[in-house]
Amino acid sequence: MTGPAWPGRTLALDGAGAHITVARFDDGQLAAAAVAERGQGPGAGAAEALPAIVRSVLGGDGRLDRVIVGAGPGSFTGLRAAGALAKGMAHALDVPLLEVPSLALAAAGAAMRGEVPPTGRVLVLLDALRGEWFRQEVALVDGDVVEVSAVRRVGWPPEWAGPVVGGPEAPARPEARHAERCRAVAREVALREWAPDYGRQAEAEVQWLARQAAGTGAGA
Amino acid sequence: MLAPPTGPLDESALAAWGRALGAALPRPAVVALSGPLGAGKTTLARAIATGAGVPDARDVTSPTYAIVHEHAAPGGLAHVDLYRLADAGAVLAAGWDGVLERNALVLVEWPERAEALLPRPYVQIRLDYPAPPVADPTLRCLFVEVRR
Repeated sequence: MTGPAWPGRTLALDGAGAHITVARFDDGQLAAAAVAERGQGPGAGAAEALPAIVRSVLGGDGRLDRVIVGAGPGSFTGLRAAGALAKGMAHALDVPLLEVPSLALAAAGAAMRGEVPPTGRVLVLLDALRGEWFRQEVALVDGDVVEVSAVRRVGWPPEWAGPVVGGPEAPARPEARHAERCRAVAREVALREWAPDYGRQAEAEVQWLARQAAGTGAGA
Repeated sequence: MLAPPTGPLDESALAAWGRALGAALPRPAVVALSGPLGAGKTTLARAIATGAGVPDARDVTSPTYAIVHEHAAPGGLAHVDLYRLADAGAVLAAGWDGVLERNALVLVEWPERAEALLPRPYVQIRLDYPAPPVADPTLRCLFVEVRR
């Protein structure tokens, strides 16, 4: 493992993938976890239900020593819901907020499931919509993430000869339960300024701008 | 395994039976909980979780929007609700294989959504309201079978 585990109680959230995931670690050991629907749009998804899900994962007196949040890129809806709650909890409880790359969470999970070697460099791909993919290289040592490259948006197929996590056939699964495996690339952030890396404009905004350009949008 | 109840149960008797089942079930085990809305599936899941050693089973809630909750218990306990999932593919995408690997006891509400994915044998419990002439709305009937 890369250094000592996070001491005390740690809450981790990620919303980059197809689901929003939540996990609690007690002295580095996974104590509870949940997978929740991401949903799409106001009133249709986990944003409304996420606080109750987090409450049940927290259990006990709700005390926390830090909050870990998947930084993205990925689903705009999921990142916004998970990010807002993580930031709000860190503010309210006056504890540090740390971000981890969401694609690193996916790499750690794939290594744990034996889908890629536990040591070496892997390429993680997450659907960026409109024929594009978020691409990030992740270095693993014994299943721990030790280094990540910058995220880029690329077309298909990606240029890469090594092991790959994600793609059209088996979408990458960033899961908060693997946050402990990403300690080496976790970074404490400034609460006031932090926002997820959405990686692209929200799909609704893209479609709205397209309608405007075509002269068919509201008010056009 | 624990003998099924012989007649309708009120809420406290249902919880007591669930706690006994949670303690008595062999591991690993999958328990499928079916029945109409409000029939008591989550109440029974909470009781089974208590019997299985979840420290504070108040955390076992009706998981609106949540698909999987994994709780600390000896061997691990997962509470899965498939109500909002369309089919087996959606269940697999939510990490179903990992849930089975990590947890010695898996409780599945609305198992009809992905019955083919349930590893056999599993325990099927159907909760329902008693048939007339029993008119007490607080009572529930349990139908228990092991599906092989």
